[in-house]
Parts: sequence; structure tokens; C-alpha cells
Amino acid sequence: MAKTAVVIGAGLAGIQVAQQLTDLGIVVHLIEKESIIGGLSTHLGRVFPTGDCALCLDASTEIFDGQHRRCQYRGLVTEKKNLKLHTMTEIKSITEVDGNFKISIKSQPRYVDLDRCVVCLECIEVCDVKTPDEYGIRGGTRKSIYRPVPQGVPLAPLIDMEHCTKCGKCVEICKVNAIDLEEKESTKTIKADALILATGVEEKIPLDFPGYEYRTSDDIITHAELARLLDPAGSTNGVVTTSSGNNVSEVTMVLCVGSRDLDASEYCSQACCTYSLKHADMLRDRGIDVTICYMDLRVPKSSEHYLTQAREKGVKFLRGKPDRVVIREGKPVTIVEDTQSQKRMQIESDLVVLASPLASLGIENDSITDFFAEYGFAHRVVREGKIYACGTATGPTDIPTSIAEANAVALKVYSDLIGGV
Amino acid sequence: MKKLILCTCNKTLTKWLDFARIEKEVGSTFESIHIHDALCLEEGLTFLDAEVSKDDTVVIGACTSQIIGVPLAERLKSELVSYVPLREHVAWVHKDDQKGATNKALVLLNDAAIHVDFLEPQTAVDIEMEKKVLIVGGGIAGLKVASDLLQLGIEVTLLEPPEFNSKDYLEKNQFMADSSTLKGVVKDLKTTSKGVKKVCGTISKLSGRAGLYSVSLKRDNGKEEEILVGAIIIATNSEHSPPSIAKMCHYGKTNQTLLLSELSTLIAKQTAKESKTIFVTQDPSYHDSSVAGSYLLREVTYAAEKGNTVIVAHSDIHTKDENLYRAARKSGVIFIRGSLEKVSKKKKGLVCRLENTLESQVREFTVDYLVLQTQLKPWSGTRPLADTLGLNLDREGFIKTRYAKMKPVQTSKRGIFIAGNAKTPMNLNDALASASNASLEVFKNLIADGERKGWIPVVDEELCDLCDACVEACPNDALRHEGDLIKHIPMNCEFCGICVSACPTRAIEFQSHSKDSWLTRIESIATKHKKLEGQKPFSLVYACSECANASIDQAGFAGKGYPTGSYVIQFPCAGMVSPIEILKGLVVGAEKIIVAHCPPGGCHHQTGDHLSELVVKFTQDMLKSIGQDPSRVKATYMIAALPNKMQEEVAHRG
Repeated sequence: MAKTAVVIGAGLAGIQVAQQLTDLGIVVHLIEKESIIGGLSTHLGRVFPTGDCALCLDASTEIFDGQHRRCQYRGLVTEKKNLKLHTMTEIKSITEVDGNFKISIKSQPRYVDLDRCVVCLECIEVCDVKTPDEYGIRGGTRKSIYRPVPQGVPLAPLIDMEHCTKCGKCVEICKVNAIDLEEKESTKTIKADALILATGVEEKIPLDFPGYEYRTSDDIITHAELARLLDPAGSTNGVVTTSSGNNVSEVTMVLCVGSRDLDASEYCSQACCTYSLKHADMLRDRGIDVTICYMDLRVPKSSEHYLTQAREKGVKFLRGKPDRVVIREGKPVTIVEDTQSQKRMQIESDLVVLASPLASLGIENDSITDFFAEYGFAHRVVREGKIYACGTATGPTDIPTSIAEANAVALKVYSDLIGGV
Repeated sequence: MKKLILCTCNKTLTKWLDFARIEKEVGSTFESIHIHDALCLEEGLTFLDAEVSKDDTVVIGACTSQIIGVPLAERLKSELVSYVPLREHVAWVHKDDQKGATNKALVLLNDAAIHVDFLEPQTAVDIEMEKKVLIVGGGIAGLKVASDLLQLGIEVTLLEPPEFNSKDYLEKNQFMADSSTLKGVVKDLKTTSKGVKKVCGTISKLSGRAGLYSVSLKRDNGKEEEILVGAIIIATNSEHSPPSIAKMCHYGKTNQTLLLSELSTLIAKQTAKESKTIFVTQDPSYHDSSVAGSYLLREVTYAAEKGNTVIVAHSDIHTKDENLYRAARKSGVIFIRGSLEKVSKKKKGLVCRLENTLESQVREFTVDYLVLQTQLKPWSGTRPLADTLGLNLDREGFIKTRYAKMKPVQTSKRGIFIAGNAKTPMNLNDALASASNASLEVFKNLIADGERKGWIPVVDEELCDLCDACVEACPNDALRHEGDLIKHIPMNCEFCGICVSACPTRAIEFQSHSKDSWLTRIESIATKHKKLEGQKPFSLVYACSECANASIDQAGFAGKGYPTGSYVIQFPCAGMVSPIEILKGLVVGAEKIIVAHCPPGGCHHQTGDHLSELVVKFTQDMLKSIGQDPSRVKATYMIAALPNKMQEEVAHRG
């Protein structure tokens, strides 16, 4: 009988490991709590180290097609026969019987049947309900039947029942009968031989980090939010604006906001230096002045060109960790001591962008939280022969390292379950 | 029969396209026309099962081939299919111009009708594989690959270059992890890789193709031998090399200056009572990596724990493990931010003068030892090895991966992979992952039993003057000059068509995409456009089938509309576009020609982005020299994350 593996999390690492295992003849259930796959990558737009598109997947069957890579919407994840994708789904419990796992999952209703929807998007057109778009900032709205991001996969929309008025217009317009407003949540139990944690990380929202006023001002934002502002498909069409709608001309970035800090997150999030530089580059290309306040610049070798570019493009670097960011006359002011000149500075800017730590998502779910160790990250081998982790579930890292780890885990699971030729 | 099958996508495309008019006006071009409302659903696929036979040529006017092409590839009996993305490239982006959109649809359907006439069935490629693997380098990563593959039942030969002495794995790999972890891993790997065939020597020649390489080995006992392997994995080491400040620090002139890699040996020899002052410095010109930073922190902690006074002059110490920093501080290591200005040899010791940037002052330290952080460089034999195998190197001399983001173990050559420190200095954990990643790729290739198909280039011997331009241009070593022939190696071919644009005598024809097909199609688009739109200007976008095509599809999804009169012609790779197709576009009256390719360094076939930029530059120069406006021709990249690219490029007319 075919062996089965459950992969938790359909970010880049989860997709990678799932595709590889499927290619090797293992049945894979890929569990994703969001309505679309891609994880962090769907928020990012452009990614390092290559500076290109975040929507790239490794087409793992490279020996046959010369293409090597595929865009997420090209549908292999939703089309492969042995790969069952469960979106809007969470793990309810995991039990072990005779050395195998019984994993019970609960799926929230999408109200749109993925097998029936032809993605004509007419339902979105006819929907009358407008609500704030959680993916957009600066007042973007969406309908209550919606697609979170244009490039999101699966392509079919979903309904936000909290705001839906059940007027039935979408049901009526959908001639292929893909919409069911009465769909209920469903549960299912999967028997699995191996479990892979690819739960990933999320930029912590620095709501309670003292001194930086993130809570009080919409001009103090995180990098995930800046990425949405920079995204040409986002609510501002790629124009970086202040909360009052003005164009931005000066941005201050603060690194290590709550990272490498014994009172907050003790570890270094690895990626923030690089994505700050990436965003600084993109801002400079729009003619916006950027100052980066940092403690150490930890840029991996593969992304060193971002640092060179940032210096060439005139990004200002200031070594020092700001004491406070305050709002003065409606504008954020960063108060910092430049440790090189030992001068105290007050930097007024239109936007302050905080590099908040990347925190593990795996520990949020009680049924798997025991598999994680220090700082909420898992070891690659959680339990030999049974449970593995890959991608940023084992600690923040860049895409190439995540992909390599996902491939390594795929090989390990294959060796455990099936063995050689 | 030539058939047209249109899909209305749940009757929605009828809002923006006049299907009745389309049916009427293309009637004479096709022998049958069908309109379906949901081609992608089971009912649509069942309809296609019944409607399309093996001998039909088919034009599908529906959503993008990237979406509908996936289910249709399995269900359509005919291979001769051309897709017109009526939804993403027409209806959704021209919502306020029904007449213009319908005209555009007519132009594109007419083009597709011509395109299918040129289509040929794909050629099946022999995928015979030699199920043996050669690993170069028996360090941590090499042993890991050997161990992985042995466990999977693959026969492995491990080639050790003569200067690799297997006894000093630990010393050489010290920077990867703490010594007890490293020792444990090496011990395990030595056990699990037992049975691997070890050979000491170098590679003198490589021939054959991906999956069936013939490798000439020169053994250190002088014997030459040739082995057949399906894949090669390069797992060579990184080496410590003295930093740029070595001379200033009198390295080599005094035994008081040593490299970081020599420090632990010195400390191990120390007796308990001898406490020394040790000054450790980073190399300000060297970009510190996490692995180098972690190594430095472990070594200085060890020295301090042995009772020495340790001072570290640094700028940024990069480490993945913040606790190493904390342990170093706890052990009493003194960290000073600053750079070494001058070192003088005095009787009492080495006097190190340091500019401390934190306190903005100069300080002097008299120390017993000055320890220099090393630079981790590629193994010294990397370049000759890469030359023999035909691999590219990166700026620092490590072996370059095929694509930095998603392809961490693939090299520029199919069938050759890298593992561990051959790519860049790595810590133990990452090196083991990298090695297993390489094992996986190799294993998957070797057990592959599917069918590989594609349209391949065919060289006309009469026209070919053996100039080797195609051989040099092919990014995948799929064309070789052998005797009086240019020989095609189908297993290496990625079906990109770059060779076609490289050939100065136009001797290469690409199946289904002959040179004549492009010219005919370009001409027919212009003719049809003029017939329907009269004097209205039009532009042509020659888009690669990967990123550029995805970006144009996403323009539809993201609602980034642009004017009609913009026609996308899909090329397998932008590198296949030659000045001739560009000039043809101008000759038939296009106002603007845009060659859209993958992002810089992101071409799926490695060089198409760069080549298409060169071809466009060349064409622009040509136009300039004959007094034409070069700005009518443009090369640009398009990616799915930038769905506004198409809008930017075709929105404003000059």
C-alpha cells in the first residue's frame, strides 16, 4: 500500500517537500491554515537573494521538462494526483497507533467549491459588501467574496462569512454551481506514516514593544506592511504613502526591534537585515531617502550585493539602536544615539519601518507545539523515522537554505518509508 | 480537421467579447467551431474527449494555457494545439473596449490558426541512465552524499583529489561546528558510508551527456581509467586563507601571529598556568559570513575558558546562534568595535594599535599572540575542476548554482550537482541538508522512468558552416561540434531555442517554431490588425513562455488593463528572438516591439534574459545607424510579482 505523509504548512518549504515526496510515489496531504498557499512569499513581492519574484516554485520534475521552475499559479500543487491540498485547515489532534499517526484535521468552509469554480470572478463583481482588506493597508477594501491577492493559489475566491449578507447574488450568477453558502466546516482523519512540520514564521506585530509607538501611529509600520505598500498589485498600486495619503519622501528603518534582546526575542531573525536592505533599495529607486539604524549588519554572503547597492544608491547608515520613536506634529521622530559619532540624533521622517522578529508559527497550535524546542523552533529531526521539520520552522533563514532543507527532509522521509531502488 | 474551441468562462467573457461576431468572422478559417461555457470542468473535458481526435489540429480560446493547459494536457487526444488566452490577455484587460477586444481576439485566433499549421509532434528523448554516481571530495558533504546514496542502493565512487588527506577532515572542517558535534557526525558518516569505492586522483576529461557521463580519471598511482556515471556531485571543501591584513600583522614573519584556524592547536598545547593575552582581529575587507562569525566566537570562547585574556576587534560579527555571542561574553572575552591600524614587534610582545570606533579613540594593546580571522575560500583545485567539467564559478570562485533562489544544488550543467562547501562556506547543519538535497536530485534523476519529450532544434548540414556559434550559445551543452557535424544531444537540451537566434547562417530550425513560422505569424497579425483596425497603431510583445508570460497572465488577474492593439507572441525563451523577428515586426508596421524576458539572472534556461538584451541593443544600434528611431524596440523583464509591467510597457504610445 502507498505510504502517506502529512506536511503541515504550504509555504515554500512545505510545497517543496510535498512535491518531492509526491514525485517519489508517496501520498501527501498538505495542510494549510490560510486560504492560499505560498506562506510568507505571498506577502513579499520580490525576494532575495535574486531580487526577483516571490511566486516561484521548484518544478521538481526537471529531468523531464526543461523548465525547472514554475510560477505558483501554474497549478502543479493543486493538480498533482497524489498531492491533496487542504487549505483553511488546521490540525486538531495527532495520536499514534501502532507506530502510525492518526491526524485529525478541521477545515473551515470556503463556500466556493475548488473543483467547480472556473475562476471567472463574476461573483466578486456582483457582491455588494465592501470591507477593509487585511492584505492592504492605507484604506484598501475588498468584497466579502474575494481573492486575498491576485496571484493567490488556489485561484478560486472565498467568502468571509463574518461580513457576508447572504444576499445570494453570487450564487445566482455562478452558473457552474460552485458556491454553497451553507457549507459547513468539515473534519477528517488521515492515517499517516510520517509527519513534516513546515509551519514557518511570521513577522511579529510589535504592538507591545515599548518605546516605538507602533500601536498609536499608522506611519510606524513593519516590513510586511511596507512590502504591501511597495507591491504594484496592492491597494496603493505600489505608491508608498503616509497614513494621511501623502507621498513619502523620507523613511527611517530600525533593525532588531525586539530581536537579540533578552527582554524580547533572544535570537537573531537572520533575514531582517537583508529584507531591510532590499526594501531600502526599492525605496531609493522611487527617489525616497532612507536611513537605516542598526546594531550589526548581518547580511549573508549570497545577498551581499544588496549592501553594496544600498551604499551606492545613497542609503544612510547609522549605527545605533533608537531609544524611542515618538510622534511630533503628526510625524514619527526617531531618537537615537549614533554610536560612531556619539551624537544624539532626532530623525524626522514620513515613515518609520520596524524590523520585528520572525516568530515561529508552529507553536501556536496546541496539538503540535510539543514538537518545537528552544525559541519555538524545531530540530530538523524531531523524531527519527517519524517526524521532521524544515524551512523556517527550524529557525529563520533564507529561501535557498529552506529549499535545501525541504529537499533533505524529503529524501529522509523517502528513505524511511520506502528505501532504495 | 482544424477545430476551434472557445470557452466563455461561465458565460462571462461574452460581456467583453462578441462571440457571435467571432464565430462569424473566423468561420472560414476553421472546419468546426464550438463554444463551451466551462471547458476546464469535467463536463468540458468530457466534451473534448468526444470532440477532438488524434488527427485534429486544435485552437483553444479560453483562459491562459498555464491554467487550462494542465488538465487539457492529459485529456486532449491531439498534440497539435495552440492556446489563445482570451480571458487573461484580452477580455480582462480590455474591459472598456468590447469592439477593440473582439478585434484583438480575432487577430489572435487567426494567428493561432496559422500557428497550429506549423506544429509538429514533440520528439521523444532517450533517457537511458547509468545508475552510478561519482562524488568529488570526501569531506562531510561528500560522505553524507555517499551514505545517502548507498542506503538507497546506488553505486557510488568517491574521488579524493590527492591533496585531500582523509585524516584531517576534522581540522579542515573545524569551522562548521563545535568539535564534539563534528567528531560524532564524522564517526557516523564513516560508518554509514562504508562500502563506498574510494579512488584517489583527479578528473582529466568529461564526455557524454546528462545521465550518461564518461569520466576520465587520472589516479595518483599514474593509472588512467574511464568510468561511466549517471551524475556527478562536487563536494569539495572550503579552505582557510590568510586575510588581506596578514602582511601588516607580520604573519609568517613571527610565530606570535597566527591564523584563527591555528588557534585551537595552540590552546590545546597550553599548560594550565600559562595565561596569555590573545588579540583576535577580523579582516575589515572581508565580508563576514555567519559560519565564519560562529567559528570565531567558538574559538575565542575556548581560548578564554582556558584562562587566557582574549580581546576581539570586530566590526560586525555575523552568527546564526546568538548564544555563541553570549557564551563568549560570559567566558570573559572582551569585544571592541574597531579596526587594527598598526602592529609593531616589541620585546614585550606585539603592540596592536586599534582605532576604537565606539569611543572614537586610539588604543594600544601589548599582546602575546595576534590571531587573524581567516577568509574561507574555495578549495584551490576548484577552478581546474570547473574548467574540466564546464561549470561556471561565482565571484569568489565557488561553483555557481544554476539559480541562486530555488536551485541550491544544481549547477549550470545538467547532471552535475554541488553539495556543502563547494557552494559557499556552510555550517554543519546546512552542509548536511545541502548534501541530502544533492542526493535527492541525483536519485530522482537516476530512477526516472518516464518519457521525456520536446521540440528540438534540427541543424541543416547544407547551410551550416560549422562556425560553432550555436555550440557556444547553448547554455546546456546540447550542441557539439563533432567531426564535420554539429551534433544535438537531446538529453542535455532544454528546448529553449537559443541556438536558433545564435546561428548566423540561419541553419537551425526549431520544431514547431521554424523561422518561417515566426515571420508568417508576425505578418498575419499585422495584416489582420490593419484589416480590422485600419490605421490604429499596434505593438508586438515577444514574450518568453516563463516569467514574462506569467506577468502578462497576472495583469489580467490583477486588473491591470492596457490598450488593445497589443499582441503577445509567445517564444519558448526570449533568447530565441533574433534581430530578424524584431525587424520583421517593424517592417510590417508595428509601432513598438517589446522583448519580454525573465528577470536578470532568472532565465529558466540560464542566459535568455541576457541574450535578449544584447539582441535588442544590437537591433537598436542598427536602427540608429540607418536613421530610424531605436526606441521603437525595447527589451525588459516581466515577472508575476509585477503584474503592472505590461501596463507600463504598452500603455503610453509615443
